Amino acid sequence: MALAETISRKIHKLGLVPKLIKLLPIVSILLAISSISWILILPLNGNYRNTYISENALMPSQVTSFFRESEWNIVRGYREEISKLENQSIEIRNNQLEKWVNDLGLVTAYHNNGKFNDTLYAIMHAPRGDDTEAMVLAIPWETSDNEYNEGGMALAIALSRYFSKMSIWSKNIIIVFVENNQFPLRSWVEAYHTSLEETAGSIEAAIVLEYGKNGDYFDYYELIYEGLNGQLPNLDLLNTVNLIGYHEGLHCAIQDTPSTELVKDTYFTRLRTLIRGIIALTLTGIKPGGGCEAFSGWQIQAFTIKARGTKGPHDVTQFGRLVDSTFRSVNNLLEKFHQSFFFYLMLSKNHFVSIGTYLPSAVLMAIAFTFSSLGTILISGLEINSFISHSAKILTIFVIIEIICFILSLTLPLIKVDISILLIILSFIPLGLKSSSSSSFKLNKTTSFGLVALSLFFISLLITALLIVHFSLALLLGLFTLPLTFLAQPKPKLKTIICLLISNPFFIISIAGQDIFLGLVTSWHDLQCWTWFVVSLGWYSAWLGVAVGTLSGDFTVQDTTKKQQ
Amino acid sequence: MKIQLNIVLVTIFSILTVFVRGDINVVNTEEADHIISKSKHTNNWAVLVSTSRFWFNYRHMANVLSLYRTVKRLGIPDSQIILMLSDDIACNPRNAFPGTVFNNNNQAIDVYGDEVEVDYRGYEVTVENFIRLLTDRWDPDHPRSKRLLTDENSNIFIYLTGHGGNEFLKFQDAEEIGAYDIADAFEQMYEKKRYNEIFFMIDTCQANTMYERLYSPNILAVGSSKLDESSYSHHSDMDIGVAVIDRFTYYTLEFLEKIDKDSKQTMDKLFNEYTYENVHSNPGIRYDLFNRNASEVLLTDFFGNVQNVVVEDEGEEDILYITNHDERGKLVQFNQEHNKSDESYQIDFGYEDVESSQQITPMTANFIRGLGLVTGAVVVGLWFVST
Amino acid sequence: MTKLNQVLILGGLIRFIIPTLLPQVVDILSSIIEISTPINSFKSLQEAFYYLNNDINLYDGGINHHPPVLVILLSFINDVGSSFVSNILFNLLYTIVDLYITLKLIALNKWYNEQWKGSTRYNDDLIASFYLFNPLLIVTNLSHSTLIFSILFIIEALNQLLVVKNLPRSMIALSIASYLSYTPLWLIIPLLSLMSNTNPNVPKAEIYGRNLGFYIMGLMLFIMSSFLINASWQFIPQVYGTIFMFNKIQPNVGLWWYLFTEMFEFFTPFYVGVFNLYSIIFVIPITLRFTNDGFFAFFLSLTWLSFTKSYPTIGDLGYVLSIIPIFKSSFLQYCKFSVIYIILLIVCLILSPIFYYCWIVLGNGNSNFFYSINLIWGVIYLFIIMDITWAKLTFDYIIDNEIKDKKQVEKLRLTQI
Repeated sequence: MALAETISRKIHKLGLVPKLIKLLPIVSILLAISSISWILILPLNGNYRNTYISENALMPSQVTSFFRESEWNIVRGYREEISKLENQSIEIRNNQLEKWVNDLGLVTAYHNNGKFNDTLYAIMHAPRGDDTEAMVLAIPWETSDNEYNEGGMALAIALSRYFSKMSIWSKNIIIVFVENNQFPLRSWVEAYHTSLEETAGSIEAAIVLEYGKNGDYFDYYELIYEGLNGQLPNLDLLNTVNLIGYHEGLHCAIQDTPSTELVKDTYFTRLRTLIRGIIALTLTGIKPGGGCEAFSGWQIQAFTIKARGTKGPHDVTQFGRLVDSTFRSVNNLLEKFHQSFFFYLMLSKNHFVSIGTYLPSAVLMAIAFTFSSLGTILISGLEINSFISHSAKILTIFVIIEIICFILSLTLPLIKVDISILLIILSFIPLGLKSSSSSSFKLNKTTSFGLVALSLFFISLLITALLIVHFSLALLLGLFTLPLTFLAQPKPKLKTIICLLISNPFFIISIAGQDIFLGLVTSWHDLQCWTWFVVSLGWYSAWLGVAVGTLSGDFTVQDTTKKQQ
Repeated sequence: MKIQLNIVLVTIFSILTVFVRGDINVVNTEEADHIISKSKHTNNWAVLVSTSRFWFNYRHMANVLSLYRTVKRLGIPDSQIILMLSDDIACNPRNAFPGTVFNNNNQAIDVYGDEVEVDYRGYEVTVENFIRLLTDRWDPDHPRSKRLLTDENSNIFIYLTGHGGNEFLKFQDAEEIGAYDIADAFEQMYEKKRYNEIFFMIDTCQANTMYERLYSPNILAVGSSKLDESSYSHHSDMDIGVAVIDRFTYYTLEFLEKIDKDSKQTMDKLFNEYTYENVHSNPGIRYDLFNRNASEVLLTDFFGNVQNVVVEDEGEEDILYITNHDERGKLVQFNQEHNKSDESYQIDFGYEDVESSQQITPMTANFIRGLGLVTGAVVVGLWFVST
Repeated sequence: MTKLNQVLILGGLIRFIIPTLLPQVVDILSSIIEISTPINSFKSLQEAFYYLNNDINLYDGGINHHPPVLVILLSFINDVGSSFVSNILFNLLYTIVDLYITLKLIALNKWYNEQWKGSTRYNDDLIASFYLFNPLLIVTNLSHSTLIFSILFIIEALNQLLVVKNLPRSMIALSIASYLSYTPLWLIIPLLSLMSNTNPNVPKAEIYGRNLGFYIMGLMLFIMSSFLINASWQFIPQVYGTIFMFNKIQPNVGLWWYLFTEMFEFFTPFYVGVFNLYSIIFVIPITLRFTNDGFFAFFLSLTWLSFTKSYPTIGDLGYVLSIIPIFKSSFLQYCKFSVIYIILLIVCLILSPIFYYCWIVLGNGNSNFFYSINLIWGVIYLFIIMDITWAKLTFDYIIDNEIKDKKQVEKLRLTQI
């Protein structure tokens, strides 16, 4: 206590508090810069960790997989038959598959998703298991690269045949043959947990398998693992498959590592993987992804593996062994995945940073916005009490903005207007407020400063709320709205307009492309991805608040030193 | 009934051998003389405990079952082996060879075999049961076959394996036994004259910390690793998909496999196997509580049963006759001292027992409402009365 | 219409209209662990009504932890007619209770600030707004938590003592509050001290003896009639034992649950004792230190108890925050940390449900996440307690030393009092 008292006396004596208040805008910018640099130093040696298997029960690569040469012929046989089906309708393909898996003794059923073709799925009840848990192998007819997934289908049937001959399963195995890995797969997962009659217990893990027309050989496999709304599969599962791949001598690409750099491990490759990972996680559900995101939200750990290349040294049974050994490991589990990390950023397939290490970056960002908000109030030179007396008015304006945004968030997905026009309206009309603002709609100084401060504080709270759940979104949101914090200083009007423009969500989306916008507005309905609401109710409303405050009000800063005299 | 009679007989036999011992000295087999002067014990017991659950702890079950097989091979009868097996991995669905447990990837010996008598299985393997077993504090109904019926002439081999840490060993992933708990249990055993000598062996991480708190005499203790050191598994079976045996136990077994019932191998030879190269950790041996030198202790003093008792032929009465007849040659009827309890005990469900009804008389809703109203009225009355 | 009436009507309408139009709001809110606990949830009360109507002992099955008299008296509302009618009546009851508390707070505000002549107090409408528009209290009210009844009687006890000046009634009110939720039992200590303060002419022994008598009589009346109603002593362990022994370990905003889930079972009795002792023992020094302002001592004890109780909700903090403005004319101006704990409070209220969702629904968080927010919740309490205590001590120092000059007050830097 004595030390605290001394410090507090020192602070008081030196008058640090007023000085600090004057410096708040700069402190805020410094915090934002340190937030970004925090991300940049993560890939440096010593800041990241090597992956390791945390759950003892998994025991990856501790068992021989017999999915070998003898099964290769079977894969070939099925592939030949399946390639003949390429021009057939999915109904006919499904009928053929159903016959095959029924012959293996598997139970089959269909799911009608009301939009695409029916989804066929087969259940292998574990002969000696307790029939309460399941693992899923999902195979889309069409891969995410729009290729006919004949290799994946053939592997899946061959694997089912192989699995059904083994007695070691403690969990059921579900094989899902789905048209593609977007809406139909999500719809199946949802129906599995709500309406389907043929089920096999809670799903512990899921693998989406893509092996297009690669033939018998492939170069390396690609691992996709992002889930919806910032969710990630337990790191143990990824480590398991990667360790198995390592023992098979396979190379692994994550976040689109070019095939030439698979074994490269430098600061820049790590940084690239990290940044791509952050962007990919933010865009999951908005942009078509690997399909594993369809399993998000029901405590299912899922990933997608894709075979890459056709001339490589590795044969198709190795790809099958990847699935087999992963299933054997998951089969060993006695509890759901809980040991390892759920919140992490990958730097390479065997380096990662965990939440404790990267979280400060977004926290700094949130504090930067809080300081900026406080700074806006303090720099205005107005009495605090005047803000309190205007609080009702400020809040009312903000609530009106929020209601407008809410209506927009619900109507935009329904309206089928040309998106570019819409974007122009939403980005530029508010900017036009300045010119059109007549005296009838002019906010006084307190209100406009209050509104800007409240909006900035709102962004800070939004980042705080998203911190854990969706770090990537929180960080990118902070970065994109950062220009809004520069407004709290006396500056030329042009700068205000530019800052507002480049921090407008719709402006940024329009740059990112039309597909992103379409994906964004439909993602809630199709995949229950709530990023759209964060953008419309959080980002856009805060932006509107700042825009209204700065443009249609008296947002000029007096020299604070004069005021003090 | 038959089994119980057998147990009674065995016990009586062991008691009788005490009286007969004087005669044994008469036997002029030098070897026997030599042996008996080394160890005073007359019977051997083994307590073998695996404390961990779950499939991935296959090796702990395999460890214990291997030692079970060994001590049985060396002559300790099932009735004198207490086997505590915390999980049933033989019947685990993940077991590629249902009904078997192997301790080596050559799959030469199915240690689960046909003749395994598990005394405590699954969730019966608890700290409480283990301590009760050692100190023999049981409910009168507790079956004799599940008790450690030792006396001051018993040599006991106690083997524990599982997951442990500094001065504790985990039981069932739910509770722990501390080094002090074991030390106090041994002291109680000593005070109650429940053993002649104990050979305490423990294979777990930081195992040596478990015997450091012992303070009762005549205990020889070995552990697989020192403080802050892990014990490791020896190898995995790629067909079963798990590690099948721990290093320390592996080398113990490898050595014991070479000896037979009549072996004169001594303990120090076994201890020589415990090198860092073999075990990958620093096994510890504690001699200070033990009176004899390891080089004088036969392995069979603990791992085997007393085989070298020679009863004089001239004694006309055979053992059965002695036990079944009194001094006048009259047939004795043994009263099976069997505490048959007809009382049924109330089952205690923890605090939840307050959740069952304890009403003195059943009450009807309207009566209750009436009472409630009266209470309300009284309070309102009081409210207005009080000024 | 005066401003006060506007506030009252608006506050009342929020409490009445929302649950009437959207009855599911009550169900949803009463399932949120931050808002209602097994001890005061409306759901278990409804379960108790069902037991009562079907001649099942109220405490069978360990679901209901409401005291018998409360269940019976409220069951008359429940049985009035269709569930629609009874729902409306319940909404009305909860609205009226909150409005009543508001009026009593206004009366207390007047009484308290009269002590310091020349200083201003918050207007009645502001005091009403602080209570009626406090979001923590709105959700607590809408969840129909029975916490509100014990607060009602605590406030009534103060009101009877300070405003009406009827000591026996004050004691009866406190005994009802204690009967309803056990924790107010310990408020008897500051309340008795407050009594002897406000009645300096009566000998202390007489005040203590007589009123303690009333209090015990009130309690006994309830305990005995509960015994008759229940035809067993089962309600003691079920209603009070559950709170005292923390038998229902469920997550809430408090500090207890996590420790008792993580703890080895054989430590539990010891720590139950320690936690309970810790919770009540501080009431005595608080009362002794602030005998000069018994009302403050009472308030601080209430804050402390709601911080350390075994089943706290966000409503507990809500009541504390709504009473603080009463101290406007005394120490409120010396509070320094309010910005910090308001920001912390907002962050807590946002993150707490998110972390709970991560833990329970998504499965990617765990209980530590949620408990970390509970710890911050505790920090908020500590900030409040520290801040108001220090502000009060500063205020007393200024009064005692008769520092009148404002400039001097500003220069004043106290380190130790």
